[in-house]
Amino acid sequence: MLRRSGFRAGLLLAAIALIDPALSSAREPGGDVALSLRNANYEIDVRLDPEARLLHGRQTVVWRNVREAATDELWFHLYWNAWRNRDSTWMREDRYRGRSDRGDDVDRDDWGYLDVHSVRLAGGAELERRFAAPDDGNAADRTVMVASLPAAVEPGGEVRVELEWTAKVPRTFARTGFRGDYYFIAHWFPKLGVFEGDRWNCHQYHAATEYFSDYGTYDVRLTLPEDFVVGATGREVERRDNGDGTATHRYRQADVHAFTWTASPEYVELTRRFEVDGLPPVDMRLLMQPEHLSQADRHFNATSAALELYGKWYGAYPYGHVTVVDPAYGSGSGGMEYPTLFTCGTRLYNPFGGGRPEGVTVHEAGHQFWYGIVGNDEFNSAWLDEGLNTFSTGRVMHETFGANAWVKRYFRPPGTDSGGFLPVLFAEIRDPGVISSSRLSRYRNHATTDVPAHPTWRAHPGSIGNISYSKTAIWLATLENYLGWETLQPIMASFFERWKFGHPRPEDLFDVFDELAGQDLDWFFDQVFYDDVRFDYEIQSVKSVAVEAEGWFEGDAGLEFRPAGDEESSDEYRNEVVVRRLGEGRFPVEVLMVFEDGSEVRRRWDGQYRWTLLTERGPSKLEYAIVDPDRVLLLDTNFTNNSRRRESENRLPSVKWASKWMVWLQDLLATFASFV
Amino acid sequence: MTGPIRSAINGAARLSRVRRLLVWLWIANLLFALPLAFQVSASIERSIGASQVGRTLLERLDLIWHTEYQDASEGVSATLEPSQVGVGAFLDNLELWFSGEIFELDPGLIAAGALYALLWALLIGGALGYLQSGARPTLRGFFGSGGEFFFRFVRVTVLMAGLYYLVYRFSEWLFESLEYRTRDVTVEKSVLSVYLLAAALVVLLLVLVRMISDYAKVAIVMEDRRSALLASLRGVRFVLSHPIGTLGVVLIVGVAGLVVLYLYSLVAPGVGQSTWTTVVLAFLVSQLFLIARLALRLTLLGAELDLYERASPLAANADYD
Ligand SMILES: [Zn+2]
Repeated sequence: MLRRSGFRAGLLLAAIALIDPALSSAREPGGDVALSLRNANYEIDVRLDPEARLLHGRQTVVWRNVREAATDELWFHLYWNAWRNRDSTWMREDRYRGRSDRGDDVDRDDWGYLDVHSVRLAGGAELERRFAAPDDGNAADRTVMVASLPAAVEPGGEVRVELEWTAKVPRTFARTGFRGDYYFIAHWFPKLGVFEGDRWNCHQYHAATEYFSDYGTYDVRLTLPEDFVVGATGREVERRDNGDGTATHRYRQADVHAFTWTASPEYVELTRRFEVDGLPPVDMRLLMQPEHLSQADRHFNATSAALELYGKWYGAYPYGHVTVVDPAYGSGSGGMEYPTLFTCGTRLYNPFGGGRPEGVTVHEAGHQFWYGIVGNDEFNSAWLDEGLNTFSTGRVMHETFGANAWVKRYFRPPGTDSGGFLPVLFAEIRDPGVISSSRLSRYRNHATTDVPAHPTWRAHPGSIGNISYSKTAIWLATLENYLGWETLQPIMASFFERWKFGHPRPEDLFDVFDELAGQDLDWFFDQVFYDDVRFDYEIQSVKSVAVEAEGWFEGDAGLEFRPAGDEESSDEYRNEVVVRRLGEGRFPVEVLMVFEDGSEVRRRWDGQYRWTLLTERGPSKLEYAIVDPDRVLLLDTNFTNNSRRRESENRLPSVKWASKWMVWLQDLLATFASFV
Repeated sequence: MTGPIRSAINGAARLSRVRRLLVWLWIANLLFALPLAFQVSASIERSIGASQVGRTLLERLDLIWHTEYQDASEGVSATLEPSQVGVGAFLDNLELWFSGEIFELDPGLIAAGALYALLWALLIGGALGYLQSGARPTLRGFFGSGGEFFFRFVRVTVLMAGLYYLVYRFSEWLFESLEYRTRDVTVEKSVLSVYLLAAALVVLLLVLVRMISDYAKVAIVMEDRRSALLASLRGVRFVLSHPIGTLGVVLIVGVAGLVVLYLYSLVAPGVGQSTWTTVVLAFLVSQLFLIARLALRLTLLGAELDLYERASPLAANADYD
């Protein structure tokens, strides 16, 4: 049985979308058709003081209540207060997960904050406000601010508030901050949570969570030193030189749920147009570090691959432009998605064929679809974008670039955080699957750490990577193998179409499966999403016994005794394969039997009971048997035991690989001896 | 610069007179590694069991199998890495040596390394004796001279361990503070340049300790010094007073080592051996590289002996130019 939540926020939103006049037909003054509800709209005027690393902001927020209940509060995320001091929930959790971006030494200038001076109704009085800690009650946390309104905003009603604030830009935490004169500014302004009718969904900032917001229009003026090259969500609609060494850039974008910008005097701007039959064109703007210019094509190619394949598989990219940011060395802002803008992340040396920066570029470009266009709640269900996107990234990479070669980066200076500077590509060692071996391994080691249905913000620190990304991608790939891409692709496309510019819940995805898969898949989701079962099938034994007519048999004259014959001369064998289910997870599997004469037999097993015996009589002995020979069930946590030969052949491969290891050991010993 | 070149050539010449030393040292290295290799082989064999993956592993490295193997293995067995194929094995160790992370390896490997280092302290005494005399090596003479110097060499090693420790701590401090000082630099090329300079300094310091250690041993062998401490001080003085000569031979032999590594990278066996013959051949090709490495080590010792002999006022023919 599927456990389903009663509250169907997603459908409600979709229903509102149908009746909302602003959505169905209205045109904005600019003449554009609204793609989303546009109920959270921001006008922001911000000035960067590069000396003090401060942002001075004034913003107007226009919020429309699209729910059926009224509210007399506005809840804001103040994300940057996560790095205000060590007592924030983010810092506490970061310590706990032991993966601190910026562990122990945080200088005075490295901290960040978002200090709100004023919140008032447009032209009206100052609003009463307080900090809230709905998740953990941490009284020292300042990442959620609640403003009380003098009167409730009724369903369909609108409220306009004005805020003034100052933000201290941190040295990069969680991919946002500065390094030298490079700025990457994300989740930087007081930002509304999502009103869900019964309450505000406005979680504190957690070390391992991402974000959730309503769609709207952003109109942002950025005042920066005039030599800065700027990238931001949306398109630049105006640039004004202020004559005081600064310039004001105005960016505007509708139908997005966040606004991010970056600025640096070093960026080199490159542009290219994505044009593919059947998809709307996209102006790609690439902001590159000068030292990476030779890799520009690789960034464009990977972005195009994502725009094309995601576009064909799921739905078109609607914005017409995208900004691809190549972050500064050591800035820590690499590999992150924002609406119409994303960061990749490459290194000075990155051999082609090793999967980077192509993989990260495809992944973050892909987030424009899963995260940007389909805007799930990442606080509670990060897997909905990360998992779907990781699976899709694997498919795009596989289709476009083939199997990745294994890369090791050498010259990692001791005591530093930087990965090795000098990569060596091992061309012979390749990862052939859509899901990489390292991802399978990450899942294997954390298969039972968390139940995916558990809210992300409550999950074990390791689970974001291992459950949200890896496990989801693996069960989707399993479903692709099981149902076929021709079935899975329309399901994902329908989910995309139904929920673009909306906030789907997990059940909404499963509903689409129910409708379009042509079969009931509750048994599958119950195991992979609502539970933490481990899958593991093995071939326990493979035997071939000569069929002998020894003993008493019915003959012409009653029972006759036949003596034992010569086994070797037998021309028929009884072949027996015992398949076992070692894990709690159940999945129908095929068993392939390969015989010495080259013939093959495939048998299906429902995989339900603990074991089964498969027998096959024939003229040839078995050579080997494989359960799940096509690796449909990628969730299987042990593939080595999936196959078994009747006569093992493990001596030569063991000696071969041990001899390679031994050469390394001999050299290692010589290295130890060098200290004598 | 003719001094070090001449010494390097003389070092090679000394080695060529006592070639069988090379074979002995290689066999010692091989035999020492063998038991652990059997252990790893057995562990791989257990992991494969009767699985068809054994077949796959004859053609290529199945990365899924490798992660399953590693996840299920512990200790020494878990140190099988994809990078150990081909030239990567030696790059891995170079990195371990440079970073000092060699001492953070699996305890089993460190224990093996420590034992081997002790064995080496015995062997190198024998080797130095013959490199000096040029006499036809006999096993009895080899171990006789090794045993004679063994405890003094061990004491030198203990003294040098302190220096190595300081160099590695300094290296860590150096890179950490450079990382901090370059924290506003946005260009990887610039940071890499700074790190490479720092790495050159660290390597120089590591080599310096190695040189002091070598000349301390040379002094013990040539002058029959009893005190490891005084011999080490003699090593320090010698290196400091003959910087061009001592560094020169290390540089020459080091460059030769890189050339050998490059040549090996051209012929290094890959992942595809699927018969006993090719597996053994691949192993032998790698052994050639290991023998070359050993030969370079002995050449260096020979060159250092030569340099010391010609430069040291105590030596008979002190005609150092
Ligand atoms: Zn992602």
